[in-house]
Amino acid sequence: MQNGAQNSSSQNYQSNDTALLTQVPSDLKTLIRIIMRNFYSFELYLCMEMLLIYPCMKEDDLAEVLRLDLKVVHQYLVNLKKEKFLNEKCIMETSPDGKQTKFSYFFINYKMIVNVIKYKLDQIRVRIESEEKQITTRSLFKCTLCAKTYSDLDTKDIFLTMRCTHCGGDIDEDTSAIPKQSARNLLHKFNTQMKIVFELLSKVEHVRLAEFLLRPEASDMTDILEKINPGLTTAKTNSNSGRSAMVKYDKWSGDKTRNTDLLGQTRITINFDSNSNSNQAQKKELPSILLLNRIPEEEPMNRDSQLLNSLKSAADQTINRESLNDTTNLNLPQQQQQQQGLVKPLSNNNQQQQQIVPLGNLENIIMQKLLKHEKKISDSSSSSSSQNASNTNGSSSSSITITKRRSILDESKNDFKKRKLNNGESDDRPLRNGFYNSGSMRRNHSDGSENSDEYDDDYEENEDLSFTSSSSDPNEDLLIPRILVKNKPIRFDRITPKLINHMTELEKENYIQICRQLYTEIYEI
Amino acid sequence: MFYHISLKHEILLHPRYFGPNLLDTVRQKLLNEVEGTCSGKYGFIIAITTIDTIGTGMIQPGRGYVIYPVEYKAIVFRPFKGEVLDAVVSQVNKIGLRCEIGPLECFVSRHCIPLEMDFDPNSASPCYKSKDEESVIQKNDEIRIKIIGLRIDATDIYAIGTLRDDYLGPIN
Repeated sequence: MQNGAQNSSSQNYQSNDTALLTQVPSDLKTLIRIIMRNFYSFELYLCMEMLLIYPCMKEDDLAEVLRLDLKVVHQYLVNLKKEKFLNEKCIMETSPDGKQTKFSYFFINYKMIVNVIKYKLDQIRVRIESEEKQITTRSLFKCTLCAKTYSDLDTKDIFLTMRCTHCGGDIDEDTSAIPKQSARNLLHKFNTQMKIVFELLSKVEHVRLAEFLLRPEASDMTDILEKINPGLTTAKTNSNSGRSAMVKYDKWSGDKTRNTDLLGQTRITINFDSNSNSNQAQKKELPSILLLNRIPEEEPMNRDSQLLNSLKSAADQTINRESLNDTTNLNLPQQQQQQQGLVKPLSNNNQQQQQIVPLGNLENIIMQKLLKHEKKISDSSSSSSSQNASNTNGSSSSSITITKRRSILDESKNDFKKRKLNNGESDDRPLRNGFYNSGSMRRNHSDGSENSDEYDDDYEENEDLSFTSSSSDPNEDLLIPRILVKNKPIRFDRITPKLINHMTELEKENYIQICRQLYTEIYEI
Repeated sequence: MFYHISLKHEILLHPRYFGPNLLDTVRQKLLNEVEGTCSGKYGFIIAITTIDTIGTGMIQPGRGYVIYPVEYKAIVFRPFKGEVLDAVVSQVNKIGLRCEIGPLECFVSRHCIPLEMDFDPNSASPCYKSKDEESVIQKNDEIRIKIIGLRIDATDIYAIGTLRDDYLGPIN
């Protein structure tokens, strides 16, 4: 059998002699696995198995992966190294605190391992043969007088007489040296059982491996370590030099890993309650800040006084608007109306605007109108709203105004045809920074505006529309942003493609920006 | 195992044989001296088949004897361990049996006789037989043995054999 194996090995040798393999052959891996599994302890086999998967491992990592004590793993690795199965290399690593630590990395000694296995198998064979030889040369007969011993091979002289050749005494059989029955077939059994090993040996006998396989670089163990100890690799990366002692002892306590995924065994939890799944799929509830009024309710006295002030200011407005509502005034030219102080000028004179409608009063009116649309805070949430009263003036009020504005916009778009004439449309007071803050821009355009006849017609139509349409609440119109077209403010919902064509580039940009803002606000809410 | 090999031997001849039958005398002397002997290296020389060359004799100074170097071919029997051979039982006793394989003597210990065969000293001739007496080994029986050990001396070879293996034992 061995001769046959030698012949086949010589053939493999010829084929593999010139080839420098860049990958460890599977036959070699199988051979190592068979040898380790059959001749060594399971722990040593596991160590080698890990090193077959990860070619170069730190002993700390190996202990971590195998869940064994570092000292025990070190002992295993040293034993394997003594057996010439492994090689060791030491690498100095610097920890973040500047300390240099030496780590031992182990890798399989592919250069030697085949010869080592062959040598060990030969040693086994020699031992079996010697044992077999001992059977034949074993002393089976003993002289009762002089205690001279005779083996089977010496029976030629004593067979007939059974007398000692030295003293002539009687010879008896030595019962303590009874041969074992199975010893004779031991070599045959060994050759039969080792047949597959001999075949593999003959295949890999003359394999030449590339240098990077013989002296591999340290393997990347982050994946498997992350799998075993999810928090460990982060600690490792932080320390930059393996794990610290604290982490080591923490991980061995077992508390962290008790419920973690060990060696990739994912835990699957089956929930038989289908309602829980449906609950997960449900839409998130809107936060209470968007549903309930977060604007602090002020003291009745303060509220009354504010209302009084707002009413006073509103009275001024209503006087103006009532006068503007008069149809006779509609036919007057714009300049005349300005002279009469009935219509706010379309030109951007902020001082004049502020004189007509004070800004503070207007904000109060807007706030009052918005508060009407707010839902009342429930009793349970009233306490929390009162606590947050000081904070809600800014952000929450702005979000509420956005909500309100969206609803108003929708309403205004739907009821566009139903709107009536309203003189308050010409108010180009800045409502929001994004909408009307470009006063300078408007001034520039007012200077160099080129109004064509077509544009004038369109504008007049829109102006008519703007004057003829009015919502049920005149203050709601103030919330609708105005878009400048040729330096003239037009309600957002009345912008037509024709008017867009008449816009200057800056006005278009402004219009697009406002559109975007409005739509984002709509969909965010 | 038998081999047919070329061997060399030196014949020392007395001067009285010098004459016309000198070569015949040398041949006869070769047969007498070599056949049936045993050497540790080549085993038992069973028979000389041919005498290839009889060299020129060298007269021994002061003696008158002549040495003739002879090359011949002979059939030799060289036993090996593990070899299976047929043998004839020559002696049987309680410690085992002794058998002859031609010129080779072989001892088979009772520990190497199958377990089902026991020594029976009470029969007409001592023998080993099975309980059902189906197989019996006694003197002059032919048995097939396997050699498990050899003691090779300069002029002698002694073997030990076993019957505990497949197809070994009495030959029917």
